Amino acid sequence: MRLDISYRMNFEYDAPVWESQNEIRARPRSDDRQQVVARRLVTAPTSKVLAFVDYWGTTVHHVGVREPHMAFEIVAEAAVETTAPEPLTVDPGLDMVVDPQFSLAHAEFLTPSVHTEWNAEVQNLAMQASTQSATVPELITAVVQTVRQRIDYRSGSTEIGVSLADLLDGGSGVCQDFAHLTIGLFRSIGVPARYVSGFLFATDETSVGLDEKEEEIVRVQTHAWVEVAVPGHGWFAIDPTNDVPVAAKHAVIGHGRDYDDVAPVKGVFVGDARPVVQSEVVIERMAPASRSVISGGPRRLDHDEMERHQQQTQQQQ
Amino acid sequence: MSFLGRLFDQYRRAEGFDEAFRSDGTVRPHYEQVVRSFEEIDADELRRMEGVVADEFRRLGITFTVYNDDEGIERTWPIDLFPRIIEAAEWKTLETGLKQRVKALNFFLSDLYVGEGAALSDGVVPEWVVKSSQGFERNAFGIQVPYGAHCMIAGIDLVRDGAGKYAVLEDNLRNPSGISYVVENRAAMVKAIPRIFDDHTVEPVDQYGEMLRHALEAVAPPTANERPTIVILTPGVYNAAYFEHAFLARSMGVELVEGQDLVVDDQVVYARTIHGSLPVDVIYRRIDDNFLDPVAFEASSSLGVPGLLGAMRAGTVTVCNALGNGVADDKAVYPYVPDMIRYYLNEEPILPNVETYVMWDQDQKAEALDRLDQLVTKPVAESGGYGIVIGPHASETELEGARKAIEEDPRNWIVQEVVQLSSLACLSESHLEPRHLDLRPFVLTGERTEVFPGGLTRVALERGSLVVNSSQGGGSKDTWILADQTEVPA
Repeated sequence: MRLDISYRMNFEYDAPVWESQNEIRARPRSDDRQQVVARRLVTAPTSKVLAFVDYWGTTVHHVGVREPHMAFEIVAEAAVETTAPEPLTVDPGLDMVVDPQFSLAHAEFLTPSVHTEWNAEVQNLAMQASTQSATVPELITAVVQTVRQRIDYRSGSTEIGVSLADLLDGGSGVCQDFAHLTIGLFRSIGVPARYVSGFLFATDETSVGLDEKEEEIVRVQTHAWVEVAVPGHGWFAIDPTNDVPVAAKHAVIGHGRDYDDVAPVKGVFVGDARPVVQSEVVIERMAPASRSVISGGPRRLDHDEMERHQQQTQQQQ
Repeated sequence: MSFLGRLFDQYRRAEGFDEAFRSDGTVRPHYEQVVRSFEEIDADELRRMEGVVADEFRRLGITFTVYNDDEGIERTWPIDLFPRIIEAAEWKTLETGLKQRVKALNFFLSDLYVGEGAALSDGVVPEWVVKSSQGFERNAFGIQVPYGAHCMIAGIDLVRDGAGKYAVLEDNLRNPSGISYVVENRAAMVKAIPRIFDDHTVEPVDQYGEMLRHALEAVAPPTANERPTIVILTPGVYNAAYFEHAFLARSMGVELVEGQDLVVDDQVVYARTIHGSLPVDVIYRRIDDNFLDPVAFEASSSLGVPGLLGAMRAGTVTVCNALGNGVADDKAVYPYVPDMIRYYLNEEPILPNVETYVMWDQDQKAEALDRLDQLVTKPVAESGGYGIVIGPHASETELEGARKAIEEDPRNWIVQEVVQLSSLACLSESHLEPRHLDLRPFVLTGERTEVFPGGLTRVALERGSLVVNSSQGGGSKDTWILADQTEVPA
């Protein structure tokens, strides 16, 4: 599936700010499953962009604005060709996923992290799910069902930073909460799980039933889901917010231990101001033959991206 | 010779190796002159000299901080005037061994953060041990360091066993402190008892600033001009080692700055000066990794420089020591350092480790737990002597606590054989008594790896105590490396 994605983040301040420094993780990755065929990242005010690939394999853009400004806008655009992930064809028993060698190989996805720290209640839920399951695929289904029984999707119901205990008490959350709770359940019983940040071509986070013939353009937010390490298969992606298989409609930005490893924007500024943040993701599904959506058409930007960007900024001054 | 002077009246050798006296009571040749000098001094005279030194240290503000229950107590630096002396030939061996070790550690850090991770895939160090280390820094990936000098300044703690054989107790590869005391101890000795240096050719230590500056200039990025701009980044006056930060800035002739004095613009670091922004080429930082840049790390840190990691990645600035060195001085990685030396250098280690048991190996754990009362239990993530249980000196409750802690989290503990540290005469009340000590030499890596000719000798406060950390109340000694006389024409 060819998806043209425009991710716009806009920060407006009620007083001047300066010396803003940011890391942006907004570009889909290229891997076995998806290929980025065109991409661009611009900011206003303009900024020298340093692109690098981090430890997790995610493309990161480092941008900063030293001069005082009242607003900062980042637009990350990409055209990506996606395919559906390989379906699960193995059916390993639960003993294989907690095998010591398998655990050691996935050690960094087994320990609690800031957003996945679990309590006894989370672990009990996971143990119940595991007693109902003989195999890893069964356990995955049971864990996702448990999560969906315990929290409902409610847009805007939480902010990043809510604990798993508070999520269970509150009973509602958004996509990253579904992801963190699912990860917490898995890790609490020794099953390696990781957080995935990306884009979902759907009218909203819960309407993945969207037919191929329906809307061509959707306006959404970034999405989050989960991957579980399955012996004999590798990382297997699941979308607990929607309880559907991860498909070609899911375009991956990157993965990590939790949200913090793939947060779309991490940044600081100086100034006594409150930011108002607005962000929007516009995804347009294109016919695979189409190659002319991103302004100027798809281009290969690889290694000379910085130089190209400098040229762009010079044109604008 | 026998102990003639009154200071040595009650000197009884401690258990283990005495640096100055053989077991038959005779003096080792390289200590003869100094022992003779002290025989001519009485305790009152020595006390008076100590007073001179203490006043001098207080006047200069040479202090350190002892932390207890999160409360810092500032103390004047304690120095004992009986010097520690190392012969030229012995030093040569230490020098070669230290260089070898630091080279291998630097290869490991390069391999891990900017290489292929070959040591992990080849099983030299278990991947899970590395990735579960608190010092393993994912933000360090892909940041190139000139000459692979990830560890530009290392402090390697050495101890001597009962036979006088040296071993590495631990590596300090992040922000090793203590070099300023090496230099100031010498200055104080020269001032208090100048005649003690008569008839000795001792390697000077006052060139440290120059040597450090040279190494820092060597690792400047290609964008720097011939005379790179170097700054020292300090957390500020409340830091325990602030005196040292100021000392180093003064001795190198560079600016001492705090995070707020620096600003990043288009991935270049600038110092804010009254003449405008001045590009900075090399930052010798004395703040911890996770405070360096609030963008990549803890956003609430006000000590660091926002955007610094972007500049490091762009290659416009070199930060020393590099990011993520803590993985290599993690005590859980320490047991694998001898194998790193064999792997990267294809050499046998010259300086051995202290024999260490890792608690994630079932056989080693069983053996260690069985003899815990004869062994030392150490938490892997602490430094400064905190959290250590010394088996022979521990109560049954302490040992039981250690056993429980090991069972709960094996990754967090190593267990080592007790090293009966060597000892040397120290003034106590009115006479000299043996105190245990260790040695922290400093190893600098720029274009080459060099060992600074000297080191910090730390001594335990109490007779019989094996804890020498200044944060635990220990003292220090001026450390003399005798110059090699063999090539000097008569």
